[in-house]
Amino acid sequence: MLQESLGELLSKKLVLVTGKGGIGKSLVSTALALEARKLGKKVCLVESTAHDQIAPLFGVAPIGHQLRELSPGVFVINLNAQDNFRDFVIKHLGFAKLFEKVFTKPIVRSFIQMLPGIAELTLLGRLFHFVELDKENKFDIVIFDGFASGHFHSLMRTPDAVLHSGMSGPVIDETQRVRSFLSDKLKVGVALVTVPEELIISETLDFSQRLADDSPAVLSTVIVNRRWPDIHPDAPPVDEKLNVSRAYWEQQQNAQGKNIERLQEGLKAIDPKLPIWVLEERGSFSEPLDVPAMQAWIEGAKKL
Amino acid sequence: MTQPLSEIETILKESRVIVTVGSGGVGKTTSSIAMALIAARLGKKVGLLSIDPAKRLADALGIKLGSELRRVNLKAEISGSLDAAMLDQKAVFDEMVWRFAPNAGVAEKIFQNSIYKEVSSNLGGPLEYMALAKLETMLRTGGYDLIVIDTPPDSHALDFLARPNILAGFIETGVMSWMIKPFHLAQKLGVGAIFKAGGKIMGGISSITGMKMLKLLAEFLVLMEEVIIGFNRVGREVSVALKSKSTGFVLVSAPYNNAVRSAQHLLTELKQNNYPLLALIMNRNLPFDLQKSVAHYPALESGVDPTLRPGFDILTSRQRYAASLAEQLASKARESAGKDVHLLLLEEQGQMIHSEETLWSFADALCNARSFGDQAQSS
Repeated sequence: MLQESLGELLSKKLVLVTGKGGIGKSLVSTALALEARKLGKKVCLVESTAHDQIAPLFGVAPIGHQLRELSPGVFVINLNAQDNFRDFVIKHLGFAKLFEKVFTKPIVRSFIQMLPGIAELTLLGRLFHFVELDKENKFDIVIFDGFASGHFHSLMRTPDAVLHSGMSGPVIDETQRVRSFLSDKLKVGVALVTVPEELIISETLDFSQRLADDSPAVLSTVIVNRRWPDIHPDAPPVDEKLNVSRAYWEQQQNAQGKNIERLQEGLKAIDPKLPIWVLEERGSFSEPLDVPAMQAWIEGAKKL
Repeated sequence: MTQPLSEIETILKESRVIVTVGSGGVGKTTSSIAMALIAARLGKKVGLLSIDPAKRLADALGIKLGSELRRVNLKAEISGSLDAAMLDQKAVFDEMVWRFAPNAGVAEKIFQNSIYKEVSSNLGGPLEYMALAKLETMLRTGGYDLIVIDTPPDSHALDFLARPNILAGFIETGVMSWMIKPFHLAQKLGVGAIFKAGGKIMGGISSITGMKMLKLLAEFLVLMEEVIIGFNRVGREVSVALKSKSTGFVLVSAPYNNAVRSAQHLLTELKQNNYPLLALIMNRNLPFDLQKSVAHYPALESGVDPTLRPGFDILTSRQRYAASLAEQLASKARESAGKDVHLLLLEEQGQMIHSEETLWSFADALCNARSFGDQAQSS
């Protein structure tokens, strides 16, 4: 079923989902998580946003920085910077005592806010933890419903920035470990979500190039969301009241054809082997999500 | 030209300062520019401030990204004027250092500091400070009839206006004077042992980050102190100015579940801060004539060829969903901002915005926006 579908992506240990705001990143991330579950995996679905976006999709009140099983086998958490920092210092660096003595003081909290890149670094550290170090949960796959393009790019650049920052000691050791994990192509992949609109395709190409230039994690899949179905060439006319609707559909279909072609051309120049998957437009999704419908949607992905 | 003013024109005519808020990907910056253009067309002297906008939009206005306020050359028949600052991170940070560093020597040292090099292109904070500083200049000296401020695209946009307090906290909690300055001095004097006040903390941090990092950071912060203090002052002045001038907020959203959720949080935050919401713009709706056409589908469905149903189904479901999200947000907006809040539905724009002309057509669409949420409007 999924071997020819997005199965390769779901064979990774960590999938980082990104793309411009408002194009369906959270839905794609969640659908991938549900599909991974269907393949028998234990899934950790992570977001890091001011306000929970994923919990409401499951019809659940915000859960925040607390791992919860929102659908059988699918665990969700919304990581925040303060708690990440604590977890990072205690769980990764093993400085529990130090943390209690030092880092809980408000004075230091503001100090930490000033440390450039620390929020990004600890977030990556937490993702690494869920994949490699979490002996209690033993997740098979971690899916990160990631930041929008620009912010995601700085997240990916953080390890190198930290390594060149003049720090030394445990932070550097840990950063090196995280960096080499991120650059392991077999384990970690970036899934870039886009939609077949002119502007967004241009931005997608631009962003793919930037990732190729300096992200340790490799772009492994591009997912084109919201593709309209094709109109059958011999379809009969419709009631004239519906002509405007039909014309709109035709217009979408023509535009998306050109835009997808441009995407293919552009990506070929960046990585000729990069798979491009297309997901169909659904109009809307109900909340709480219909799990089998989400799985069917992702299984219906077509490879270009 | 004695057409009655559109809703958005009425709002702009009566406002002195407009702050636009909303999540990413809803057309917030474009809406801000469009409002500035509309106000200029009404004859106003307009200042526009945008934080980290897409280069494409700066290009469309024919100005550069940077830290400067620039005059936009508008088409001849526009009676007002538009000055815009499209703030770019790196340029902004550099200017901030030049402006507040006590002398050129310190400024140079800051530029050389390796932390500065990492931070200056990687932190959003300074950009927001610069935006506030620009805003202060505009409020104080610009002589603008209207200032439009486009906030950074996230659901914590209001932090932007409250932010001075965070850095102020950094100075006022004594982190600088109790920990960092003595540490910096001790290092400078070659005193290996660390002083009492911040000793445990600095020692603790150094066991994690190493001493060199701490030295660099201390140096950076000591160098930046003047800069930080300068910005705090500006921030406070701006907060006061915003409260005293008639400042109104415009929330931009789009019919996507996450955009609407963010918008709901923003409505709550606006209310908590006593910031008045003037208008809610629901962008990216299906064209109005299409909505009308789609409404006929359920009655005609049985006569439609099965191969054509998928497309009509998508349109129907999109339209229903958009309408329900708009309704949901409208009632929340009314509940938190009162009955007088303007609720505007905007059609999606088929074309990409890359020129003054396309910006004007967006502006016209905004003038033609349909008010919604009224019983009178449902048909």
